[in-house]
Amino acid sequence: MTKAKETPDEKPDETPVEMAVVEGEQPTLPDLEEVDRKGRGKTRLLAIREPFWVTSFTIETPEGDTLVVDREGVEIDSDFADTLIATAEAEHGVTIAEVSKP
Amino acid sequence: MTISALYNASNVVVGQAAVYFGVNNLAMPALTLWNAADPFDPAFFATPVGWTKSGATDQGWQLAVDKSTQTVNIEEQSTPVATTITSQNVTVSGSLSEDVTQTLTLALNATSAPTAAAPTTPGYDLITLTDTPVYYAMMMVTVNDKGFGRLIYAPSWSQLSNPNVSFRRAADKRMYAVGFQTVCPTNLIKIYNFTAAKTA
Repeated sequence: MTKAKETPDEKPDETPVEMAVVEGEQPTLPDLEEVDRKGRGKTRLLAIREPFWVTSFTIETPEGDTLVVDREGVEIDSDFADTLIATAEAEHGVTIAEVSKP
Repeated sequence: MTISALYNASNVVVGQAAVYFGVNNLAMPALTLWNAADPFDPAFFATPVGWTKSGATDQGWQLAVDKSTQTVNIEEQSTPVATTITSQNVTVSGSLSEDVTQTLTLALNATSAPTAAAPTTPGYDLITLTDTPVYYAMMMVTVNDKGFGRLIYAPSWSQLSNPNVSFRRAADKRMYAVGFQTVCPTNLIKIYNFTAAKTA
């Protein structure tokens, strides 16, 4: 069986995130903006806004992982964020919105 | 002079009220948004975000003020020299008739945690009762004698009624009794009785 050829656009970017390691110091993780700039790991910080009696919203990601959004804010993969927001509103009347980082 | 000159029949008013509730201490909408021509205009209740309609009821809403008083007497006089108010309960009560998650959370002092449908599980709202009272901002809207509307607002109410729900085949609908009771200082309970539309 011939395997379908992947187009360059479909291939995930596997370029490692650069981390500066200085002798004698602990390595630090790159901040979110740095990751975003490299075009990988884009996330949006989403939180439940309305109604106020909803404490959390649970949804299954396409990968089969359980994702729980609370009122404080959870970083969600950008590609899935819009689906999550639409599903919460349409099926449960829950408003989920993007919030800024504290 | 006849007795009819002593009263104004048009001041006798009938009519319904609507109740909106929101998170504890939610601010009242700005009066600049009030529509004098239509007190129930949803545009007024859209800002700030969070005001929620309570929905249909069985027999409308009841506003009640229940005071306990203490008379002050002196030996030298048979009648009281003063009366004090020892406690006061301001309540708005009714029976909600929309059997939805929102009604259950409100009537049962509960919170909700929805789960979206997935290939392996159905979608559902998990409603969890709590022993901690949930407080609400609440306002009741009605029409006054001039047709301009009346707004009763307080920033903090409890809702700790004791619903007793019947599940009947056909004889009656399901009803969830709710009773808001103010838990804020008396002077924060406001009644806006509108008397005129905005000037041009």
